[in-house]
Amino acid sequence: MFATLVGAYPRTPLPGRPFKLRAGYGQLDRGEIDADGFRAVQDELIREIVDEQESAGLEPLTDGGIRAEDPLTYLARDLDGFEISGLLRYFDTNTYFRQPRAVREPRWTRPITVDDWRFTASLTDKAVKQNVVGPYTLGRLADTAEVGQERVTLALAEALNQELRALADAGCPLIQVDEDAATLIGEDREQQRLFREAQRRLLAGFGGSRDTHVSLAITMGNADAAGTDTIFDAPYSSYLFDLIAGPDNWRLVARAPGERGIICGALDARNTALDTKELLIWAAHYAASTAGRGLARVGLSPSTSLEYLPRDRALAKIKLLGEAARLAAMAGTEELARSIDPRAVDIRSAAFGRYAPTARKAAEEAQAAQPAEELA
Amino acid sequence: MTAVNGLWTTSVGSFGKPPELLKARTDHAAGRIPDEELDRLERAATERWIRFQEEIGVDILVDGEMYRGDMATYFAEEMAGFEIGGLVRSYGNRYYRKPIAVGAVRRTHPITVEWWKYAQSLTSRPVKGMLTGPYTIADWSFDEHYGSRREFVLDLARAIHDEAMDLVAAGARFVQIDEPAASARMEELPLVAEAMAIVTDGLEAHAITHICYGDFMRAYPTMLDIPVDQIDLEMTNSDFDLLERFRDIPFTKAIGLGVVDVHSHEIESVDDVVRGIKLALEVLPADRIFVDPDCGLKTRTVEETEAKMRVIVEGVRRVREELGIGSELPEGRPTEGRHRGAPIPA
Repeated sequence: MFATLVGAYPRTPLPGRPFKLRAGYGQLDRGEIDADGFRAVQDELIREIVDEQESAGLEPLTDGGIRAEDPLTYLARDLDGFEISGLLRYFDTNTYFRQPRAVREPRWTRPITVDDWRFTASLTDKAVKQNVVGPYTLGRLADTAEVGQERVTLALAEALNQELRALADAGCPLIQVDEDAATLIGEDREQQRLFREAQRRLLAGFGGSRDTHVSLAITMGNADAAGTDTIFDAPYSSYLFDLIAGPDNWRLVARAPGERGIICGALDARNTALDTKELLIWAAHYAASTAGRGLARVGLSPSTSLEYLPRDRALAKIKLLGEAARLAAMAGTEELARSIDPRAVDIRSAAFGRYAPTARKAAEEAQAAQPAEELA
Repeated sequence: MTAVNGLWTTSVGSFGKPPELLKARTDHAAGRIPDEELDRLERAATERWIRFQEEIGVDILVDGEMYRGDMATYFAEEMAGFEIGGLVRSYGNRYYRKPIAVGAVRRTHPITVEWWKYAQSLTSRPVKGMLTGPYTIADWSFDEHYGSRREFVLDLARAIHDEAMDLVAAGARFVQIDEPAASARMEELPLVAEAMAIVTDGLEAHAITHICYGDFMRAYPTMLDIPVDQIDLEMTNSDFDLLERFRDIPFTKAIGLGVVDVHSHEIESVDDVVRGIKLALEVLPADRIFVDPDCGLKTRTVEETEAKMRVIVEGVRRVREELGIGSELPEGRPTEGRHRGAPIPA
């Protein structure tokens, strides 16, 4: 049982703190610092974000997506075959990306994310994951009119496979492939086929004995209409689903093969209202109960990037997320029962308005709480 | 005598703020200068933009929104039921304070009317009333109160309707209700239209909505069901792709045609502007075309704003001259197009 970000985290400061990144952009624009100086500003922010995740009890950690102007440009500008074009809204958000325009089949020429992952990994003893936007999403959201969506997507899958290999060779223990555009597939059989083929090519050489855990993340809506055959075809080790914007993704959770992990994106990443830990715990326990998965293969996360929130709200939410994961791991214990709303425990506790175990349950718990030598 | 009038020049609403005003806004937020000083600078900057638009020959003017920050937050700050939250990023190094609905939202006083009156007092040309639409304010806010997007949007629609009516009562002939969020969720376009029907109900003016940076191909033609006289669309950013669809499914309203990119430092050539206008003229008559930038120009410097507005006016002047199109302004009244929605397929 664990808690992790989907990827991005607010780059804005906590209230009352200086906004060093914004100032850094200004200094870079005015020529007061060079690219290395700007990178140092980003490094400092990444340190803060890693600390916040650690103190909230999250693992694996991310760099918060700080180095990316937007997730698509971050990859596309360093792949051969793309030009960067006009602004587009990212799904239904008020956040924008520059649309990559494919001018030929994309080609991988050098590692893109590896140095960034190495830097973040050097800041902590905890596992650090690296996000990579998947080939289907990059191909679907790019302008592919000149080359064709299928050619671009499949070439991207092969190009990004090399990026995944470079990350694995560098020792990255967990790679998360972000495929938000899976929510656009629906019942379109051609798109389903393209998604499957792209994931197969992307994961060539992964799965089986390879140490790196590769996870598929789908946020921003429902992907269940694409079908389990499409979503679970490639050998991903785990799946992160947005369960707030995509409540129908619960169907995918229920049908996911039991040996694969599930990360429940059940914390609302797009509203400031603080979630309830009871709901998060319930989500984790339900996912664990499906297909004999067990809590060891379940994690909790925000529903999508936390960058849509102000920093203080994001921090409050990840603290809650970490706490919910800690409590969820205590399934069936008195500590869990005492830590949550009695209405979420059982009908007896709900009626009393406090945790109220039956006499038999109380006796069992008292016995379980005794030191081992006393029991002997 | 000119047979046809059209290709009226205007802009989407905001202009670049002069450096002294940007500094004053920062100083004011930090409590270093009083309200009166900020107000004086905002008025001076507004007057400067009105004079500039008159000088270059813009047909329908805007006040440039020198007194506004984010377009949704500005209205939320003035209404009951909102708190203003922390900063969130929109793109690149741009951020805004996102409102939070913490109670039922309602208008407690006119929000833009005094500014509109001030701007209009400076010129004899029409100045547009500029409002942010209910769907966009709701969509760009956090909701800790309603739990129902529809209820949130419709409460805002009633508030924006009151504001629009007050603008018209003050003399506004053109009222723009921006809905840039409208093209993000296709399934909610009917809600956008439902809310706009409340806003424009009984509005005796030329009602415009501005939509940008969404999936126009999917939003069209349903977007035509939004009850306004004109839809203003960002076109340069998508290289005028949408115009091709008008050949198959006719555009039923007047269009605001974005002909310069507002997110680029580069200044388009007059030829670029002429090309965009001529593409539009292939599918729409001149008297249903208003020409402007893709979106608000507030992200540009004063110099870039001026340069982009100049090429628009010059491009229009050239096409009008070439095709013999006049510049006499439309009345600024409701048109048949307001309730002419998406054509029903045969």
